[in-house]
Amino acid sequence: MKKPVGTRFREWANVWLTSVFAGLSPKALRKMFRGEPPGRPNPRLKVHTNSFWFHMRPRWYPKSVTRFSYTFALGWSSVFLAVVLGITGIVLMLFYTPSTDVAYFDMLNIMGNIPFGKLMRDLHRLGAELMVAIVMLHMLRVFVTGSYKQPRSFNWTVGVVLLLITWLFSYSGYLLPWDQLAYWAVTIGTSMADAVPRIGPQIMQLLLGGPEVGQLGLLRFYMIHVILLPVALAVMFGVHYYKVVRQGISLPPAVEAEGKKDERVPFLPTLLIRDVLWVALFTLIMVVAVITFFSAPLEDHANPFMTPLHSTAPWYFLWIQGLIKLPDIFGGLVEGKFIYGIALPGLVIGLLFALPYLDRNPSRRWQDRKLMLAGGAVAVVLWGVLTWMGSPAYKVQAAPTEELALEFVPYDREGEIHELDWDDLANGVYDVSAGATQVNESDAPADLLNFLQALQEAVGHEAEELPNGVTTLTITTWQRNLKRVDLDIVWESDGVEHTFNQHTYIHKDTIH
Amino acid sequence: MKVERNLVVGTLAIILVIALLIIVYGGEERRMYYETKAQQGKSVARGARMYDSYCAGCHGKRGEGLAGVYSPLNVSDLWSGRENIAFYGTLHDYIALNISAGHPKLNMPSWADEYGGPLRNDQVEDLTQFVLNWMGPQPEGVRVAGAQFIPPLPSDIEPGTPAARGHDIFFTSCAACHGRDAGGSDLGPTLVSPEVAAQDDDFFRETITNGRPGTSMPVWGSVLSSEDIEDVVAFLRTRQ
Repeated sequence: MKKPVGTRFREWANVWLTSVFAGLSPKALRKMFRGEPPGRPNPRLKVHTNSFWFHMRPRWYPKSVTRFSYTFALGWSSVFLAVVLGITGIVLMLFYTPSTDVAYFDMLNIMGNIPFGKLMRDLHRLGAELMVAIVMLHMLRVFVTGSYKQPRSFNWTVGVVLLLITWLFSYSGYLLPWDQLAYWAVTIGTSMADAVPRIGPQIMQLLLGGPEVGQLGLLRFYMIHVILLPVALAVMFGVHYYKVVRQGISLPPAVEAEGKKDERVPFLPTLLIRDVLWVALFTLIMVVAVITFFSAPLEDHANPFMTPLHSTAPWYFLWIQGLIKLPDIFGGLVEGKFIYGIALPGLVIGLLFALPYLDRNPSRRWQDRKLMLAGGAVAVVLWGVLTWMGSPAYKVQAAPTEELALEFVPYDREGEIHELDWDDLANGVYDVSAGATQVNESDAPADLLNFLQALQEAVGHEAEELPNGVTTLTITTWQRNLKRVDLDIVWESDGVEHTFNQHTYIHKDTIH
Repeated sequence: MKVERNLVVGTLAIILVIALLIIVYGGEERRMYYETKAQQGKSVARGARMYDSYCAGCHGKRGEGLAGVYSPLNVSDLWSGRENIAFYGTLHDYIALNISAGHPKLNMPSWADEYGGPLRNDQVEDLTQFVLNWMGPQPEGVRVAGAQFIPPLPSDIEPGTPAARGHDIFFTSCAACHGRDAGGSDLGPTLVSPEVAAQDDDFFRETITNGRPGTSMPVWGSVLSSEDIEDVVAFLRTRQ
């Protein structure tokens, strides 16, 4: 006699759901999420054998390793970011062509015509910046906890390869918008490849497909970014993560030294739920950041004939740019670009690779590693100093007039003048020379007065370099909805009169 | 690591993300509209900068041109007579084409890189947007008048006569093509040769008023009054 339909359906549903949940029956699933202990044999362990995704995660972690303040979930975060970058990257790929004629306009199209276009792009950029930072912090954490020592030394080396892959990812993606920021950062960077002895020019040719950054270079950087590096990442990350699961995350040095058996925290359900929680929280943080304050920059169209003032490399390469600014040694016998741009960074990377094999101290405890930890602290401080040196603040200041104009009335980027509203731009000639009182007595809008006072203060700082200086800011209506702002500086030195003018045009629709 | 707490917080976070995305979606059309307007505004501002470097030398700092030599661009009726020279495209296309390919007979160089000039197509587009921005009502002080490059009256013309008025009109409207001595140039035939002088007054009135299809002789009847045209004819007769 056949069983009633209801029973047969329930039985079929049970079997189907059990296979969907990789061997956990609905009853066992319910038990798990209710926090009840599993029966014997433990059905939750089977999940890690049946399912591909759960096979990649360990069945359990030692409790001391799960503490957030031990690893700060940095390794986990970099995987999360890689997924976010992959998804947003694929979406962006739908709307992007790596052609110098259209790439920039594809960016404008994404920002102005595609729903969620700006969100995707900002998420991608934010993910990229966070990725580089988190990967470097992860390396720092592994260094501090001495986890790179045997038996994990090979995995550290794989990790350094992953670091290079991450840097290359970020750098190759940097060029793709084909704006001034991208074009000049990459032009400066690739020109350093030229300094490699013997094979430098060939390396540059390989990277750029030609003598300069152009269509061929853009296509190659695009291929590197969307095919070469993702494949390399998949392979190297596979190795890296396999070793992490096989060898286990290293215990905190103090716990390891004690030798006590640590309590086991099962992955299912505790750590799975924590994973899901972190996915949700990290996504929320990124979405909120992108909605409120984070915006991916887009400057003017790439212009090979105009180098913007203060062009810099991306922030994670500023340390190399700082190195290059150091004075030439060997009296110029060896090209500074080679020493500081190739040799020293190469040495640093080489040391990173070789670290676990150079470090003969088998102990991971802090008291036994004082020298190494001090060295690490020095290295971090040195990196910070070099990064600051790479910024425009060090040694590449232009003439004071140009610096003033760049800060207050730039024509190729956002400056102080762009903070004002359209209604604040009252037409007139404003004397902002040091000591002039016109600004204080004027009845111009308040925000404009604040701007003029800030400008006057900045002019006052430069009073020494601009003797007998007269500085005026002029606002005129140039066309419908278009105003022109002129900064004129006249000064005298050695009996010669000098004049300086920089002006910019502001359209009503571009400011709020 | 409480499972329940994490489940609740995680679920709330997911709901919040979905809610935020829905809110973002609601505002997307408005954001994209303002973004597009901002991009167009930036185009005009960039065009203004480029105009300073490339165009102001001939067309004047405020687009006022040089009467009879280089067209003023700050006028409200730019090339409304373009159909007279058999151009049926939009004003945008007409301006972009002139900038890109130039106008050899009028000493307008070609600016786009495909025609040997220094500008990319998007830079030509920025300049076009800037010139187009002169269309429509403008605030005070924008439409600056151009310099009138009119020489003094020749000795055989009395001031105040129709021929004297015709002299002024000739130099603002005709000299650019027909030459400052009315003897013709690449752009327009002589008006003082014996063959031309043999034509009667109606021939001149007709040609000036209605233009000459198939050539670049504009339809001056839409710009000059019939008295103006009489004055010009009177002036021309004094030169023939």
